[in-house]
Formats: sequence, C-alpha cells, structure tokens
Amino acid sequence: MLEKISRRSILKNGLAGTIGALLLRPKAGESHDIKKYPNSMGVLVDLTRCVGCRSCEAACNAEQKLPEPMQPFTDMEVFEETEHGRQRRTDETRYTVVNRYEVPGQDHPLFRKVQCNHCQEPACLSSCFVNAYTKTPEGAVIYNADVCVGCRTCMVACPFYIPTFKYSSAFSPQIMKCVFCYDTRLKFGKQPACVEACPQEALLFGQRDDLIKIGRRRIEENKDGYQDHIYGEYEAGGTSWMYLSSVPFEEVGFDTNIPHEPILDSVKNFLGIVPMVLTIWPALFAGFHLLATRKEQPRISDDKNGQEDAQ
Amino acid sequence: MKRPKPGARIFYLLLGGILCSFPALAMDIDDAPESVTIDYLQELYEPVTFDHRMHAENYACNSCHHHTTGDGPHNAVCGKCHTTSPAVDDVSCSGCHEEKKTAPAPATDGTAGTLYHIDKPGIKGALHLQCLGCHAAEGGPTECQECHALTPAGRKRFLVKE
Repeated sequence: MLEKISRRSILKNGLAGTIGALLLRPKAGESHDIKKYPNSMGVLVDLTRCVGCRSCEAACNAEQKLPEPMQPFTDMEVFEETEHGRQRRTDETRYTVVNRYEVPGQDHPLFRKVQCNHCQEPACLSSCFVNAYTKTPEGAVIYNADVCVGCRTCMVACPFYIPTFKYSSAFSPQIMKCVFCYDTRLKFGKQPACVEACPQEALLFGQRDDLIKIGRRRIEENKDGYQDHIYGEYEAGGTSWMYLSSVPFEEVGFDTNIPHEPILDSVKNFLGIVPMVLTIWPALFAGFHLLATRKEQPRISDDKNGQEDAQ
Repeated sequence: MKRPKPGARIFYLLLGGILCSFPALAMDIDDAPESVTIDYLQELYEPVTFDHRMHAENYACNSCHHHTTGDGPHNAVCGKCHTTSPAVDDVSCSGCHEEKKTAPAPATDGTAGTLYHIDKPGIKGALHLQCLGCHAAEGGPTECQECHALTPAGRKRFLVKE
C-alpha cells in the first residue's frame, strides 16, 4: 500500500512541477528590440498621388511571370469586383492589387495598393517551423518553396492577409506572395518593378529611415492634406512598406487595430512551450510509463502467489 | 537673426523690381517652343506631343515652371526663397528632374537646398503630378490612353488583346 501511494505522489508532483516549469519559463509579456538592418530598403506609398492606373499590377505580373488575368490591366471595371463582400485580394495569380475607395467628403476616389508589407519582424517567418521565410538585410521577406511543407500557418499568422496558397497545383503547391522583386532587382540594389512603373511617383523606393523622414516632411508641409501618421512605421513592429493618406486609414481599407508590437510578442509565450513539449514530454511520460509498468510486474506475481496460497 | 535695416530692405526691393522688369531675365511667351515632344517612356508608350503654345497662352509660366522662368513662383512654399529668382538657362522639366531610381537621403546640413529640395520627384513623377492634377481640376484629359498610345510592348505589358 505504501508503495502505491508514493508512486502516485511522484507522478503528481512530477507532472505539476513539469507543467509549472514549462509555463513559467518564458517571462510573460516581455517586449524585445526589433531586429533592424540599418540600411534596409522600403517603399513609401502616398495614397494622395495614386490614380489607380494599375501600371504596378501589370509590371508585377510581367516581372514575376505570373499567369495572364482574365481582363487586361487597362480594364478599370475590376475595381467593382467583390468576392464574399470583400474587395480584390492578392492571390496566386497576383502579388499586388489596387483597390478603389469612395470616401465620403472626397470629390474623387482614393486608391490603395496592396502587397506584402515586408515586416521588420514578420509573423509569417515567426510562425514557420521549417524556416521557409527569410528577412534579408535589404528588407525583403522571401520564401523558399523547397523546404515548405505546405502547412499554411503563415497565411493565418500574417496580420495583412498576404501569403496565399497555390491551390491550383496538385503536385507542387507553394505559398505565393510579393518578394519585393528580391531575386531580380532588390539584391542588385534596383527598385522593384511596381515602383519603376508608377507614373505618379506614388511609390517611392529608398532606405526605410529616409522614407520616414520624407513622409514626415510631406505631412509637415501639407498638414491639411495628410493624416498625421505613417502607416507601417510602427504597425506590427514596423514594416518596410509604409503609407501616407489624406483620409483616416480605416476608411481606405487599412486595419488600424494591428498592434504596434511584432505579432511574435503576442504568441511567443505559447510558442516558447512548443519545443519543450515536443522534446521533453515524450521522454518524460515514457519514463513514467516504464516506471509504472516495471513496478507492477512483481505485484502481479505476488497477487498470483497469494491467490494460489488461498486456493 | 539680425533684422535688415530699413534702408537695406528698400535696396533689395528696388533690386528685385529692376531684375523682374528686365526683359532678358523674365521669359516671354514668344521665346517658348510651339510644342514639346515628351519621349521618356518610349518602351511602353508612344511619345507624347505636348502643345506648349496652347498651355502657355492659357496659363502662367510659373504654374508649371515653378520659379525658373523668372516671373516669381506660383507655389507659396517656393516663394520662401525664390520670389525674386531670375530666369535660368535651362527651363525644361528634365533640367532639374532626373530619372529616379531611389529616394534621396535627406541631408541635414541646413542649407536651403537640403531643406526644400529633398523630395524632388523624378522626371516621370514630375510630369504626371504636374499634368494630371491640373487636368483633373481644369477638365483636361485624365485617362491614361487619352495622352499615351500604347506601343506593341505596352500592349503586351498591359495584356491588351485585339
């Protein structure tokens, strides 16, 4: 009897101790410095300049050799398109889209370009357990299809709903997203294709730090013309692509509830446990199991002896 | 900052007045070209023939040329320095606006050039920003292909069939 009680208490204490240690190990709610590359590049998108010509979409399609869309890029009817009540989104056939917004009180529509914002601390990268994503020193968040297992966690993790999945390919499905023209342009110091194509210079390519200064200058020189905010300077820990707008950002489709801390900060307490659960728990519980079953062997034989004795 | 003496102010005002009234320094409509061929985007678009005479007859030089034609700046921000600036030799758009690759690093040495010209658009941006804003306000053409005919390469880029 004594032996039985002590085994149970060992199990109880052991389990409680393990769980306690696992939960307490990562310090809760602690923020950290965002890893920044000093000379990383970015793009400043000025919504007051965009006229919705779709030149950026056409340039992206050609540069990234994406499939031909149903409508030519000169067709402005696409701004009317909605899917499930939403405006157009990036998908496996387009890494960038421009959407039109009729904002009350404005005499002309506003246009917003959507593409990967290339976060400084990308949630897609943090969430990927095979490290398929890389944040390059130039600022791009790139993706390696060779190691991707297709779990699509990055699609859930991204606060901007950018990574999309190539569902059309049964044999080589992969994540499809804007890569800042990394392979063809950025790593050679050249501006991305969409920026080069923009007639209005609504897209401005430069060092991220310089773009912030230029953005502040534009706001300063035209206080009535701009919101006093550069979207992406702090959102989700800061992004390489940033935006200026003449109207409140939520009126042109931006999510203004995105925290200013990297998405990683919200989930790292939990993510810190995962490797421990995966590595320690199997060994720990296998040990408990072996301990329990080994001790049971002599007891069974004792019982058998007892039964034989009784007979 | 030391305020200039009243005498000095009058001197500068007189000097400015003389400079402005001097015919060789303020440009005349007759000096202006009839038309300008804009051919920076020849890969995707046919060159644009800009009717300079029509624009010059209906609008002041400074509504496009900022302060370079010597008739004082239209924009109040330019007026901070260029109220009395004389005409310059090269008044063409490309005389100041280069083809742009990246945003310039904002310099901080505090001189006028680094204070006010840090966000100068490239030639393509300058032309479109200047033309399209005015066209929207004045009822000029604003659709891309009203000014720009696509070349075969342009039709391929925009995937225009037929």
